[in-house]
Amino acid sequence: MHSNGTRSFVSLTKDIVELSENILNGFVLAGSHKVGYINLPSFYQQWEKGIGEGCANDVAKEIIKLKKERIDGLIIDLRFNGGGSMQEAFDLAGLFLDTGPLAILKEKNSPPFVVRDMHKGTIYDGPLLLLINQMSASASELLAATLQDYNRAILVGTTSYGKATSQVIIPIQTNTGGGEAKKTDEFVKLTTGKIYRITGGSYQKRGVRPDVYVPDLNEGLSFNERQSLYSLEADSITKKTYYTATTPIPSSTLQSLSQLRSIEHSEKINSLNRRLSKSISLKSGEFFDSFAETLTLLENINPKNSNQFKIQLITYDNALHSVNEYKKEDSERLKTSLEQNFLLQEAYNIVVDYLTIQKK
Amino acid sequence: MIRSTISLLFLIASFPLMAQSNAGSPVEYLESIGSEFTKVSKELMSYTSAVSHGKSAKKIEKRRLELLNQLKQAEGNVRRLKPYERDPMLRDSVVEYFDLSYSVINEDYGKIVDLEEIAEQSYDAMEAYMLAKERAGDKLDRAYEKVDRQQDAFVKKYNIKIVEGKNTVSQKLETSAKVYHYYNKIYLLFFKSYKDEAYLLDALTNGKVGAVEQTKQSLLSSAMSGLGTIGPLPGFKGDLTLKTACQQLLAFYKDEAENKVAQLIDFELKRENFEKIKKAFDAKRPSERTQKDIDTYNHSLEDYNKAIPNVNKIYGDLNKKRGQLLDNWNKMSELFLNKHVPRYNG
Repeated sequence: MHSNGTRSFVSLTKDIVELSENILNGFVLAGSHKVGYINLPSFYQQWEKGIGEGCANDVAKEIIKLKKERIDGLIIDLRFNGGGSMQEAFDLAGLFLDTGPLAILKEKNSPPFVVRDMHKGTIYDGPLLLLINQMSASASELLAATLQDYNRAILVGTTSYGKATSQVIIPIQTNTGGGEAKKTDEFVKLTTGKIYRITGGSYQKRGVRPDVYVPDLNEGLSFNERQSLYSLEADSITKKTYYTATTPIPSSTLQSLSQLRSIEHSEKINSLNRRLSKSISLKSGEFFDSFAETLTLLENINPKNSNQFKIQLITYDNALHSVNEYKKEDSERLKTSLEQNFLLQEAYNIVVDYLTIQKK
Repeated sequence: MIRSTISLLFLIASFPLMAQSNAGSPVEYLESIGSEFTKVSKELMSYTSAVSHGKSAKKIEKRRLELLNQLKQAEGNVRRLKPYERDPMLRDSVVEYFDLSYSVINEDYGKIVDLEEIAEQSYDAMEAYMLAKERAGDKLDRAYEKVDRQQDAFVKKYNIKIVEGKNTVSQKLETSAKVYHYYNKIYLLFFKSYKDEAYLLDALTNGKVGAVEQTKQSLLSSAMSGLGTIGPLPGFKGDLTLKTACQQLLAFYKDEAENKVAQLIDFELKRENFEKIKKAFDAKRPSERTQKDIDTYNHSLEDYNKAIPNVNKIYGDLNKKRGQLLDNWNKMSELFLNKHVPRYNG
């Protein structure tokens, strides 16, 4: 069904396709500077490959490949990353921090516990930028908050979701009257813990605030922890942690420079958000007219192509892409959407600004 | 570890042994404290000599227990002294010092420092131990400074003239202090990289590329820092053997991290790349495979196969060289201490 109400018919071919929603993608943004880019869709673990195999190790491998491309900076995209394994988030934070505490965990009836970096050393110590938005939740926020507290990464985008709790999924056993528990399809998801920043503060309901705010369409949606009826309240915890933060990020300067570039974009976002907040007629003709107008506005939000950089495959991956057509198509699709993504272009600009400031 | 622990007590040699006697009680009081220091000094030198001159573990432990016993006795004897003219400050400062010294030799650091706080500040148990020892040493130094201040005040108050002079034991302790000061400086440079290499070897065993890269960077950093620090250090009285042995090890660690492990990581990436290409290649029906697919597959297989013997050689060479250099370091450490630390048989 097209936006103007007309219909088309397509044929579908049945085939085996490798699931790609859990697999990260890496590219090189080649412009005046070379900046690495990694898109991380979730904090996945891959139990079938063995203990400790998951997104943190995959990100590590991607960074090693990107270092061979001689990147000047690195962007990790956590937008729409709803979380996953906390252990992977801790391991990933550890890639950028030499040693030290990562978070404080608190479960009921237990004293607060400081989670520490398990591996000494870092894998990358150049400029690092994390992209976040309202849909970046849980493990994404843990990573962002930890790196922010160490001044290790520049956070760019909009305030994150605001979930700083951990849950377990427990099967509901029904073995009343003794005997073996029956297999069940019913489970309960139970909140068992709270996560605090190494400062003792919390991003529960508050979210993690970016160092550089760039408006995003999704900001207008009422979809965050604050909207959940029974979400826990934000509080703080008293627990001494010992860590050494690096030089503070020059947020004000970066924000000012970004704001000058984002004026037009902000106006478009605000206009669209105003439109989306209005009610829509369901009468056939009026609905499709309104839908077409909204689509046009959406298409104009993002630039047609980037003038600042070309998106290139990591040299290491060229051979695989030539043999694996699905991987190639997947990469091409992502590449196309990234080339037309304002926020990514702005993130690249912010990295370049930061490099310029550091040289002075 | 014993060597760096005993070095914390060398200030014992500094307590004055003789005062010019005008046949008065304050002098006798000071000398009775001094005599406890003398007895402890003898046991400390005996223990130091045993540790430094290749005595058996059993003999070293015997000396340690004798030192502990002497410290306990000294503490008790001084504690039983009545405060001189109702002023307990000098006596109490000495009791505190002997008590702390006992805990240090017994490695009972929990009595001296907050171990929980130290654990929070440390990467692992070994780092926590080193930090606890360092903090205990600081506390011991401050306790001795307090003894020094109290002794100064006592001497001034009662117009006692201290006769400068050292007996054989205090001279030997002073010499030992200098040797160990130099030794510990170099030992710490060695140990930091030695520990970092242990973490790297652990990561290589577990096979996680991320952890290998992290620990490799940590080793490279500590080895380079160590080489930078040790370079300008002079020998000890012209003896460069210990410094050279350490430098050789640090250079090995630097090369291992910078060049050799980098190749091992590359191999892992090549292996994974080949497996992905093979999987994609095998998933295609033979009729669908192009010449480019076949060439890509063959090339990645060739790349992978070529790397295997190199990886095996790297592991073999590293293990052999590491063994040789560590043996040399241990040998040079023994020879150095044996040569420069005075002997003392009590």
